[in-house]
Amino acid sequence: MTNRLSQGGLIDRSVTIPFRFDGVTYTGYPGDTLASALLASGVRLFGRSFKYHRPRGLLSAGSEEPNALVELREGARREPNVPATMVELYPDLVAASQNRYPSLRFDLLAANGLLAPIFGAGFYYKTFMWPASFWERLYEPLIRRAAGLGRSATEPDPDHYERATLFCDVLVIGGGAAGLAAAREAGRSGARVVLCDEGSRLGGWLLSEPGPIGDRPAAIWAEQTVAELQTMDEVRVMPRTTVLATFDHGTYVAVERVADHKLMPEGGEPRQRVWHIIARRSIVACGATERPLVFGGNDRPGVMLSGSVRTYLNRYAVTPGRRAVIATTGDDGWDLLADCVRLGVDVAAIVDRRGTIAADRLDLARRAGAQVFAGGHIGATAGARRLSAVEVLDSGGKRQRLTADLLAMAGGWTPAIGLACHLGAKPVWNEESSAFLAAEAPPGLRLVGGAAGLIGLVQALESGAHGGAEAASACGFAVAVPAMATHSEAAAPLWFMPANRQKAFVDFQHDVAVSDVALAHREGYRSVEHLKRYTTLGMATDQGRTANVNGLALMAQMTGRDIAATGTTRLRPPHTPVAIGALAGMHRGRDYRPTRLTPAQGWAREQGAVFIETGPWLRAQYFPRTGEDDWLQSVTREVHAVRSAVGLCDVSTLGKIELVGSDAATFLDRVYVNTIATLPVGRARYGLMLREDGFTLDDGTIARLQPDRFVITTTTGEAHAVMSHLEYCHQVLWPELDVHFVSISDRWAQFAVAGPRSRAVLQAVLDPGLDISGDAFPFMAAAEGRAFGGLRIRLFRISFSGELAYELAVPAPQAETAVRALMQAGAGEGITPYGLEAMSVMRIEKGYAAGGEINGQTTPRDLGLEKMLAKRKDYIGRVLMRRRALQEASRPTLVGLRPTDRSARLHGGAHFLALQAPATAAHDEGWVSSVAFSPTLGHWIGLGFLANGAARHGERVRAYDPLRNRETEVEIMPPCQFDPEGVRLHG
Amino acid sequence: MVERDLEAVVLPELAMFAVAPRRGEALRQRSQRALPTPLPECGRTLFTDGLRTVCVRPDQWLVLGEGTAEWLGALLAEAFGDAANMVDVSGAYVGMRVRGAGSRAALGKFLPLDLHPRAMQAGHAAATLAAHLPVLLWQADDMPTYELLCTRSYAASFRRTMELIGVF
Amino acid sequence: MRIPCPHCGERGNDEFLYRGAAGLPRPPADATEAQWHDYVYLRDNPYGSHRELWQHVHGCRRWLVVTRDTRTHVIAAVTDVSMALS
Repeated sequence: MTNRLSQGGLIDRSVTIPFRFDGVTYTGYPGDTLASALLASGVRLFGRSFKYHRPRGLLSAGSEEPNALVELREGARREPNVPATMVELYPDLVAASQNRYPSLRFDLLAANGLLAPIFGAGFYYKTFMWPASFWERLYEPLIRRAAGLGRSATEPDPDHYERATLFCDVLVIGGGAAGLAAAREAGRSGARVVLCDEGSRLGGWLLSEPGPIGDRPAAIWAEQTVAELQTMDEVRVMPRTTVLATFDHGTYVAVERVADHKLMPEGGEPRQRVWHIIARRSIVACGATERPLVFGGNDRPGVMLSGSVRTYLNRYAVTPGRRAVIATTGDDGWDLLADCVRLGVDVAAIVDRRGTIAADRLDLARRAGAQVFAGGHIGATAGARRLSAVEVLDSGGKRQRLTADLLAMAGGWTPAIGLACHLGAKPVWNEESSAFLAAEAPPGLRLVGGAAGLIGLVQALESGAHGGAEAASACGFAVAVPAMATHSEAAAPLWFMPANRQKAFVDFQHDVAVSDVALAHREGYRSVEHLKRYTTLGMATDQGRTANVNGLALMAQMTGRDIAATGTTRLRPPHTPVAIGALAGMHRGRDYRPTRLTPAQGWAREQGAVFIETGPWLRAQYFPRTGEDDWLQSVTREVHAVRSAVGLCDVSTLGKIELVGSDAATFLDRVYVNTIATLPVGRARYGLMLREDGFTLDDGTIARLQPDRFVITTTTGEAHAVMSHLEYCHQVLWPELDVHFVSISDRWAQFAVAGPRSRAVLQAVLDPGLDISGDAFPFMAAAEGRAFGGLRIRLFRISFSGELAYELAVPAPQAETAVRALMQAGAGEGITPYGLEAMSVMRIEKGYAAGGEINGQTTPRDLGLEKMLAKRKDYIGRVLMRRRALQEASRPTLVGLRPTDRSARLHGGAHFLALQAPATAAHDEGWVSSVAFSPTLGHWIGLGFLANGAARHGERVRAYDPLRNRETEVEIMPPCQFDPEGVRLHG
Repeated sequence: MVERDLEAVVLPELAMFAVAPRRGEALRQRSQRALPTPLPECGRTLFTDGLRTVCVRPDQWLVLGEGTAEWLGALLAEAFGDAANMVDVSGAYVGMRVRGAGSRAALGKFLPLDLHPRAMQAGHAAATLAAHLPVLLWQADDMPTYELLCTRSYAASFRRTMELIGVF
Repeated sequence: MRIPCPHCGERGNDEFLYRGAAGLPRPPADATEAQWHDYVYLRDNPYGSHRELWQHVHGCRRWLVVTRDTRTHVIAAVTDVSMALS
């Protein structure tokens, strides 16, 4: 390893780790990242930039890295756009560079660089417009191929992901000096503390600089503090965990990289785990991100952030270059110079934007053998795929060319305030700190250390300790709150070169340069929001962490406004990219959402049912038999079976609510349009429920089992809404009523047994004691009883098919046994299972309203059910249902329809037009709501809503379907087209 | 073989009634002398001799018994008579018992509740939504042992979820 | 968002159903159509404190009156509807 220093670093030199990058094998040490190991091996070129395919090297050592994005792993686990600086090295790691063809060294698309003048910001808005036909055929496919950086995997992810919830008193975000101090204070008080850090090792900046803290090196202090925290039972230390988002009321979302640092997850562990952390108080100790300097040629491989160079030197014992030039606008560059002197790295020059340099610093530079350019700046850089020379301008403007392969930039620090702003707090520019600070943090959240603009080790430790103690105290734990540092080290001011010969980059990842900011300004896109979207500055995977402030400061300069007035764009979650698979956790594939199964699901599967989803429910749609190749065949057979013999249908999914109490009848009278109080014990009634605005909410049956005990049904889809509605009525409107109601949807399975032979089948299973002969148990009778040898049941003679029919409720745990017993009892009568589809056909034949008609937009009058409306009681929806507009003749009302050509097919959704009327909205007279092929009648039939429908039976109209380019002439009928007298019902 | 620090079993079928007071009746008071296990305050559960009472909403209780619905119905009718409105909901839920030192961490992947001993102790009960499933649960003892109920139609998904988080 | 239910403690908003403004007096049976129209359709839209109805559907199933600031989501008070006055 050519660039590895012989000593130092937080690495374990006794173990060698082999890995591959772009097909070449290298080695590194435990403690290395992919970036540090490659840098140690002399690799300078890490990627090609997004638009111009310029050669790029590492800019940084952390998660803010914009250039060195790699594809990690191969095959199904391949992950694109991973910053090499965040990849913990492990044996047999495989990674590849991105966005280049055929290789990193020779990238054909670097030709884009020649077209740079055309490819500036706003390029896409001004080109690819003509001819319009070329867009789909040529432009889009071309752009799609050229766009993007990495490639995601194309095979299913073999790993699994978890989600978990964690509660604590104090959440400390960031495990650097400030975070460790905060966690220690809070932890010592006995509070429940969670400490999260994105790194594999806690310490943050303490791992990048020697310190000391007290008498120990900074890294040792960090290690010892972590060890102390790990002895505390109520403190949970979470490395490799990035807090992504702040939500209301102390809720945070974090992602823990459980197994990303291994070849693959072990022992059943998930690859990543998403945490919902609920904290009473939180401390944001995320530190600050260093800013690059903006000058021509600042993107050449070898130009890096000064603080990151210190990280490579101190933490990884790697020198990114042999001969360095340091450019600084504040004190930070001098700290790097001190490290270089200590570690023996050659420094050619230090360029300090400030005109006056302190004597001890001049002395340091002399010891380093480095030239000092006070008041100087960088003019340009040179080098094909790596930096080879730097042109420096002195305070007088005189140019000097220096040989160097490393240029370290120290442009000041941007506090990482994102998490404090996710709830909408606007960052405020602080002139003294040369930084945006979160002035108004959400309640319970406090920023400390660098994130609060308090730069410096002492400031971090003191503000962290203060914040942690205060948070624990606020949670009720006894702890003395130490005093807090208020002053900060002097901040580096922002400064930009007046003119650049070469391209000066602002956003490295999206290839946005000063010329693009100037273009946006010229074209009038001068607000920060426009600047961002027009140039795409800050919109890449790094979200402009090293670019935003420079970008808006440049725009402020160009517009002549100050930075405070220019402001910044809104900071939103997630703070760093997170895989959607991690957020999904276990909810993927068939586990996306829970499924609700009826108690007789097993039986239905055995019978070969084809299932259909209704919300979370699986319902049997039809039961195909061998030899039937399409659903129409099966459904037709099922309908014939019900109407000629007997059929069995599982109707368990309907909502069922049991109401008990001396005021149960009164309560039901107030929610249904028809009178319930007069319902005798042992009888059921069809009921309609309205919303307060007069539109139908739901329909169902009400059965009275005892004077003060009712059972009502709802449609499957509205069960939850009806329950909440009833609870609202009871708790909010009429709490004085003595009624208690409970959902019994899951307590009872329910089967419809329908057809001329249904009575015989039921008589065979019912225990003696319940007489269901015609007069004893007439249409709409209801009773409790026993069947199948002692099992409690409920029986209702209600019919949705129009046949002699019953619904039998059995306790859910016995459903599988009961349904099989029913099938056996009915075998001699030809009992046939039927599903949702056949049920729909039969109710359409009878003209019964269902989901297509009761869709929240229809009133009882629309449905032809005005006769149900009680005249002498008040009920919900009564007044607004009678609004004039809802009574007009032109309002569409329920009709039946059939094609005049009986062989024609009908289609739902078609609209009604008079025969000679033009097909325009002005002549629209209604629509078709339900259609079915009627085996009973031998042709297609339907239900629909037609203006003044009741008066137009016999008339012919067009059913017009412009979406599918077809129309059918239909005859308007009464809704019930089969057995209108209900002879079969009362059989 | 790795020793697991938690075990999970499916609960047997229980008889179950939902009970609410008729207007003005002080059911909790009555239950002190009339039931082997009295009715608890909101957010709590009590258990003695095969009879459990649970309260997760004001003025409503679930009473669960290891026996038939007939037996439990008769017991409650005798205890409360006309003072209570009762609905038999036997069979509406399926249940699971999870116990052991590892159960808090495992259930932390499922329940959005604070299971830490400072926040939840034996005798506490709650209704919540976990992984899109409606769940009723209580802590039965300090082992800790938890019992969770889910409506029957969700039984297969409930089981599947417990497998995915490593409880089963 | 987390809502402190008076019966169940603080819970995530996915356990609740939102209805809208609380405290609107329901018109009597003999009220005019215009009064019913106002009750059903007209609402204030305050930029600030708002008293509203939520049902804790996945908890105690009680309807609650929540006083929430529509700008910041800060919840100032939560009471069971049986305790809240119109």
